[in-house]
Amino acid sequence: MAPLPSRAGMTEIRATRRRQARGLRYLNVAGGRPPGVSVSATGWVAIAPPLCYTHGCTCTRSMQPVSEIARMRAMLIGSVPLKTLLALTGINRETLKSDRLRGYSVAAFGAARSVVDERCLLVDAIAMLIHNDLSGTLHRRAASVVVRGFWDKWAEALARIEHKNEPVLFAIGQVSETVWWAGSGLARELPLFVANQPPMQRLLTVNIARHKCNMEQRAEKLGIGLSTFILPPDDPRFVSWMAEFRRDRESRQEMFDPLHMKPPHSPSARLRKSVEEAACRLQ
Amino acid sequence: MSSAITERIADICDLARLNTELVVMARRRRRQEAEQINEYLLSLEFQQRAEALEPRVRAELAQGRPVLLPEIADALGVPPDIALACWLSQFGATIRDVVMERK
Repeated sequence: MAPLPSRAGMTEIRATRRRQARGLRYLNVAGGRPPGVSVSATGWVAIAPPLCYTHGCTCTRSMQPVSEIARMRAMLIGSVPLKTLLALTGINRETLKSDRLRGYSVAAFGAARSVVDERCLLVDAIAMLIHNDLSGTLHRRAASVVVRGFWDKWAEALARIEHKNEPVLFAIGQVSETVWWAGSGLARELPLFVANQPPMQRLLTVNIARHKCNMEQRAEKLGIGLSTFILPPDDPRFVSWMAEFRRDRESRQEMFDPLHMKPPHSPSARLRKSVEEAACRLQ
Repeated sequence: MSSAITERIADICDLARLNTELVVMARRRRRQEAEQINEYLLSLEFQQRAEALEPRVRAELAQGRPVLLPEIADALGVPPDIALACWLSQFGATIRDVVMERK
């Protein structure tokens, strides 16, 4: 007869069962921990439950390799205090203050400002830089509406630039007095796309890669090691963030009333929690 | 390292932006405007302006310096896309050799 486990051993068994019930698999990586993966005191690290990326279910067919899943879990998007964010972007504090007072400020996730100034996301900086870029031609208010309303488009462009090394541009075009379009796509395909469209009154393109590059160069000068700006475009969390944003935008469009414009909603508690888990502080 | 890759991507994007800008200019032009430009390209005034500008542009291109397209277009009296397509291209200049603004 096998000896009964000790009190500590029983606790460990219960904890393991609870983890199994939650669908988490635990992987011992004490021997060879991949860089960037945080390991608890016991030497175990949580990885995502087995997920089929082809069928979107939990079947075992065409499963991603465990190392790939661990990499995706471990990827964190950077956050910095507002002061550092302004230094990285070269944006004047007074300009930001004025934008906030007038309701023209922008941030990631279609929000008007980051949830906590002490933990601004690097992607919030990209939102501000796109806003500044568009403000050269558009009114700052119109530019802020574009940046907030099409967060999914420019975030996708940023994700593709960062993780797929693809030259992607974010563009908005004015077809007529009241009709605009916004989108992102491969830079080399934009001239052909424009050539096949009816003549546009205005076309504004934003080189997000240039803004990111400028931020990276400033960070190098300041001695700050920048981490990831945003999750990869195929990361399940990124996909769910975008889906939630699009759903929200569609529901708002149905209730849109130009005479009673409301400020944008803050991200939902669920979304904030998800971002919080995916963010890491750089400074 | 990461910055170098991003810079390369940004350069490709800049080139595509410029190309798109020129396409938009051409798409906006009405038939009547195009005919006026065609007539002007055959005029003596255009020939004189082009001759005066040619040595400077050739020198800049030979040194591998990008040419400021709006400035050239202004000197020739034609829109920037026409300046590139109908005049600069005869010296072997492509979209990679021109810029819309100095950095």
